[in-house]
Amino acid sequence: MKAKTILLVEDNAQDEMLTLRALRRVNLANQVDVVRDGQQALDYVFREGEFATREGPDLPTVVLLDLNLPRIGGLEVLERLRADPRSRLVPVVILTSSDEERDRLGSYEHGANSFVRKPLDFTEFAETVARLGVYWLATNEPPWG
Amino acid sequence: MNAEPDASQPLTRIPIDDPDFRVLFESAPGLYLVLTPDLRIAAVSDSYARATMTQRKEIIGRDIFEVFPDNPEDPDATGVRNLRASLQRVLRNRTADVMAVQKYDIRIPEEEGGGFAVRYWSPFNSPVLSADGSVAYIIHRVEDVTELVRLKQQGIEQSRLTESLREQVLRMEAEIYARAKDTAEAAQRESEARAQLIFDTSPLAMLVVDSGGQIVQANGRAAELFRCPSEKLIGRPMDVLIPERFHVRHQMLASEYFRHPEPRAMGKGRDLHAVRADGEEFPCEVSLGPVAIGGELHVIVSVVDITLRKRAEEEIRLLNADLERRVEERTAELQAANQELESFAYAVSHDLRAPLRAMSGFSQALMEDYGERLEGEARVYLDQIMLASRRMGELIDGLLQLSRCTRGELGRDPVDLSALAERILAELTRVEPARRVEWCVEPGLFARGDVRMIEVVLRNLIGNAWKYTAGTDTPMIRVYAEQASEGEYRRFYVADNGAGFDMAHAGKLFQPFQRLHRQEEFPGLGIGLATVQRIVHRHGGTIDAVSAPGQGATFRFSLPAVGRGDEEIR
Repeated sequence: MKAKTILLVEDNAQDEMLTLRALRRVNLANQVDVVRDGQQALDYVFREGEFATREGPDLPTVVLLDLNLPRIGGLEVLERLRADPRSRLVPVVILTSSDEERDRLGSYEHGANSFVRKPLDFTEFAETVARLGVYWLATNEPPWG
Repeated sequence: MNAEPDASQPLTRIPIDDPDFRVLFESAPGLYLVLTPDLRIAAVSDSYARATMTQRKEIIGRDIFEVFPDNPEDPDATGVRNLRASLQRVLRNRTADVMAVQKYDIRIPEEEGGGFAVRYWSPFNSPVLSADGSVAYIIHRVEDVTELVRLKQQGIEQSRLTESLREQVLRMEAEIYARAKDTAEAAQRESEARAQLIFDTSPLAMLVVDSGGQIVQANGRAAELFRCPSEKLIGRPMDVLIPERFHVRHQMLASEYFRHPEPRAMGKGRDLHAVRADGEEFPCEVSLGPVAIGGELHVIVSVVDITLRKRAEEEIRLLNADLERRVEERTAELQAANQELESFAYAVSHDLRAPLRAMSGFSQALMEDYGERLEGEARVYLDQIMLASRRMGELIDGLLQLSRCTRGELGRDPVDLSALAERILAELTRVEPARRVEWCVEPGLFARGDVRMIEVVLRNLIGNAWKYTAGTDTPMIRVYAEQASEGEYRRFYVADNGAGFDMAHAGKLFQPFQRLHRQEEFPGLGIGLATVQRIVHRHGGTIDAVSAPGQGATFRFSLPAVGRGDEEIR
């Protein structure tokens, strides 16, 4: 069985720590790769730039994508992933603090598979992240075998 | 015709003291007939009998019209009728009656061939009155004018007779004509003078131009307008009043005008300019009207200086442009401000939440992972950090909602407030099943507005009512409205019998972060009512509240009403 990975695109170190802690508690922490901005996310997916020689599977099993990112924003990353035949089908979950309608609609319009608002309450947040990790890695069947 | 006395009558036989009047009458050199009042012939002179081709003995005692009937060959004969009328006038008036020349044909005796002879007579009838004044006889005297009429008809006699008359008529005619002419000329002169006066004193500058483009008349106002005396304008070509650059076109248009002359405004759709004698140009309006003077086509040209109007128009245009520019600027400023507010709200939403999550998150992580190692009040302090960050999170959410209410499109749909209120109250009951709150929502409450914003209004007001009735024995919440006709604003009420507030502090009610209760009494942010007010104001409505401590509170707000049709669609 191919290795399954989560690509976490998150520029906030504290959110990253809290996310990883939540995933660790459901034993998924060692399957998470973290990048800090949109450009890195694209480079990672397409094995370009600093990720030209990265190991592991071609595509992550799921991308947890924040919207408010340095360099290339989350929506643009999503747009480019959907525009490229290699990454067209990769599951993308938008994980953001925003509860703006335009962000939600924009995400779905650009082909997001899910839109999750980061709960403010830590317990809720931890539960939500853990559920997401389990769902996309264990429950959900990815588009490729 | 024959009226001479009969020479055969021997006058010597008549005695001088007793003349024989019968003989005298019968021999009189005139045509006489004597009639009785019943129009029978009493006597006749010889001349009369001869002229009418009758015999005395045959006609005496007979009715005059029996003796002298109309010519049956002449259907237009009027002799009997006219003579009878004249005779009756004499009988009635007892005065003489002169008849006009009358055609009255005479019967020719059978032995002479029969039939009728054409005769014209000039008759005169006069009464002979008796002692009592009644008519005893009528003397009927005639003159045979047959020959005269015949000559007249031939035109010979007439021409001779009327020569002098005609001269006289001609003279009179000439005189009448002369008089009439004087009158007409005077009228003409007066009308011309009047026209000239109107032309000269017209407040409109007017010129008369001939088909050759020469000015033949110019009034005072034109002289003023072109700053050139009329007499100097007259005789000069129209072109001197037009800026040179328009000459060619003007000449073209002018000759075109003379081909199809009609009253109209000149230069439709383009600005016209004229030039004064001193070279100054001015914008103008020109009207043209064809007029025949001395049988030749001329044009009356009226010119209006529209410098002032143009200037006013230009000022208005500039003012409008300025106004538009200022509106655009203001709009841009407002848009920028809105934009800024939006980015601010966005930033708050994203950037303030993350550190909050970190604070509460790591506090919790610390508690979970190392809780058993924390001593003394360390756990209490951690709890306080978590409580504070949760409250700040709520504040941020409240602020976001407040800011969201002031931006974005405002829906204008019919909203069922009754259904919304029922749903909100049902939710509150579900969340706090321990509370026993009685509520009553009037059915069929509709308003026109943004459904999500109106939901925020009701959520806040009903939520408050729910919250502030916590300490009431029999909590009661009522939602109702006043009736309103279509197009107006309808007043809605959310009333409770809870804690209420002191009206002295009512001014603070709708200001953000202002609260009328201590946090430990009733927890809250102080953002809800500020949000409600903004939403109501955005809908063009108003909101106020009536309350007293311990007496409950009633919030009254207005929203655009909807018509029946809208409710049915809904």
